[in-house]
Amino acid sequence: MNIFTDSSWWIVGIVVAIMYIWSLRKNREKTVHAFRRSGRFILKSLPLFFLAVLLIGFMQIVLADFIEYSFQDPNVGILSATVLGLLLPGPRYAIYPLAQVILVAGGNIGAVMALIASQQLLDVPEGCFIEVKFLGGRFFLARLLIAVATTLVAGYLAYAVNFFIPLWSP
Amino acid sequence: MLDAVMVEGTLFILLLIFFVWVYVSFPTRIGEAIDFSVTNLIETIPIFIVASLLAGWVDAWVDKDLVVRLFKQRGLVTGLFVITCLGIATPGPIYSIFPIVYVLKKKGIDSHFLIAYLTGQTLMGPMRIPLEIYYLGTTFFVFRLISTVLLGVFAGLCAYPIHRWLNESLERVSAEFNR
Repeated sequence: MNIFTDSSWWIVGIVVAIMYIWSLRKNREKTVHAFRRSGRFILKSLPLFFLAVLLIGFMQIVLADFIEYSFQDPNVGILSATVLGLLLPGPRYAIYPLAQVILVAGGNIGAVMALIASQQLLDVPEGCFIEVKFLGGRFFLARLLIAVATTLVAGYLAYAVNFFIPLWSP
Repeated sequence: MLDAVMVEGTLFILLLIFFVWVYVSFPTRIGEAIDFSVTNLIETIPIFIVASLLAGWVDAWVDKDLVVRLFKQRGLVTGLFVITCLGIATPGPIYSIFPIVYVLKKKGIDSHFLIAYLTGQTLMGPMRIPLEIYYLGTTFFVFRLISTVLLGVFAGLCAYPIHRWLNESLERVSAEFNR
């Protein structure tokens, strides 16, 4: 898919533009706030996103064999994706390029789903310190265990759905 | 600020490790890795900008207190369903959500609902939707949206048997926090 030729992205862009025009007519202050928040978000996130995409470029070469073998088997794939996802740092959107690489390489859909869920449910290391500070170690530990269980369910659910109704094929 | 530097630092160290690994083990494939990354960046940056504008708009127009106001005690599964959906609709990184979770807790909302809310918020967010559709397709996104709602309810049900034990701990942490 190419963003410059894919019309659906132009539609999304136009919808966002209409939302801002509406916003500008309704409340100028809120529109300025929205622009400022967006700008701050872009400035803060872009270096991280740049590093994450660069990292995945190198990772996909090193992990190609590992992904090819382990992510094709649903059980090994879901378990290794759960562990890999918990260890992967960075913002939650950074997982999508890696998930795409695995999916295109023929990885099992359950493993891809588990990888995304595992990376997103707990922000290691940046989020966990703040979570312990705000909600305590007991709450964090309970959420960690529940997150692992949820990740496994996510992986097997996707695998089962795709087994009976094939939605994705390698 | 320190957190952001730590994350970027960790990513940079990982990048260095994988660069050296590729340089030593697959020296002929360095160009391929850089090509992949550059193409990915060029194609993604416009989506990233659109997604950021969308997140900014939601931040300006969706009242954050709405999450607190909308949620009232309901039946267990219905309540978990509603709060998971609210979690999905709440934008922002996880550490910006803890103050909301803290407010929900102070309003007397049980810990299993908080876990469902955090599950929904972390698994899906308004800003990430365009990126997810771009990288993984609409079918994948729709499936993940439905499964996120189910997983939020599942996570809440997992926490339900220990919710009193968690509530005690949360109250203790809250008291220490306010001291």
